[in-house]
Amino acid sequence: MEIIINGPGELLVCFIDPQGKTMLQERLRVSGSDGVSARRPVNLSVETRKGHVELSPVLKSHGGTQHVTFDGQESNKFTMARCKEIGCSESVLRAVSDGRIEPLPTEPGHVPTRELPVRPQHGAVPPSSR
Amino acid sequence: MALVSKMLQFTIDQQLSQDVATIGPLFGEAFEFLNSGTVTVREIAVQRLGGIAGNNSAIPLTESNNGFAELRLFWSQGGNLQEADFLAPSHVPSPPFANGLAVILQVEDLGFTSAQANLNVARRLGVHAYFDEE
Repeated sequence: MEIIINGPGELLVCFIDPQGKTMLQERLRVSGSDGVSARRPVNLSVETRKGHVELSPVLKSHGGTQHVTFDGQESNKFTMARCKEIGCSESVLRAVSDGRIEPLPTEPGHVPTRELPVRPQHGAVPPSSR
Repeated sequence: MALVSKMLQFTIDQQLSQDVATIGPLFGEAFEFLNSGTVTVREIAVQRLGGIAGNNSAIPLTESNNGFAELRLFWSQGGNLQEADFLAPSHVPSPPFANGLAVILQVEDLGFTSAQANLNVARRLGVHAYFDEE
């Protein structure tokens, strides 16, 4: 499958198995002019110790001005068709349409903003060490 | 045409569940159409963070420190499409190419198959290029 991205920004795609578990996820960030585009081909299956697993892509988030397609189709249309194709249950389909798919734990990427970062005060204790 | 400096940047942040034993190669590209001006590529760079490790495996997996990145520049000469490829890293200006049509910035990294162990995969691969069009 090909993910085509039109416009700068960041998107998060989770690839779920028929039980709705995220097996693979990718955060893709494109920067450049407003006319920039990107292409990312992805294999919709993985091998586990238990065997071959088919996957369906779920677009979790994307930049406000970005347009994202999966194999030339609108992402949500492709996702629902692919979920049915790999045998997702009704509850998984509902979770997909409600945006309740859990991504893998990861640090979010940094996207350029229009705000100055707030610098920690000198001598402040980092939150992680309290 | 006035000189216009442009940037093209693409980052892939990939993470896999620990149940996975095989991962495919990583490939992505960002592209932009040009305005038929004279193009000079000023810089190409690639960065990589993280990687792949075997879970419950005594044998660590190692690979190169960087991904592979190249900029493909397309231009027209006498009505014929021409292509020049530039490899990262490069921090000196390229020769100028007239009638620039498009640039494609590609990045790739290796895939892995583990017969013995599940794989822990968390890798971030970023590539950028600066170029001028005049």
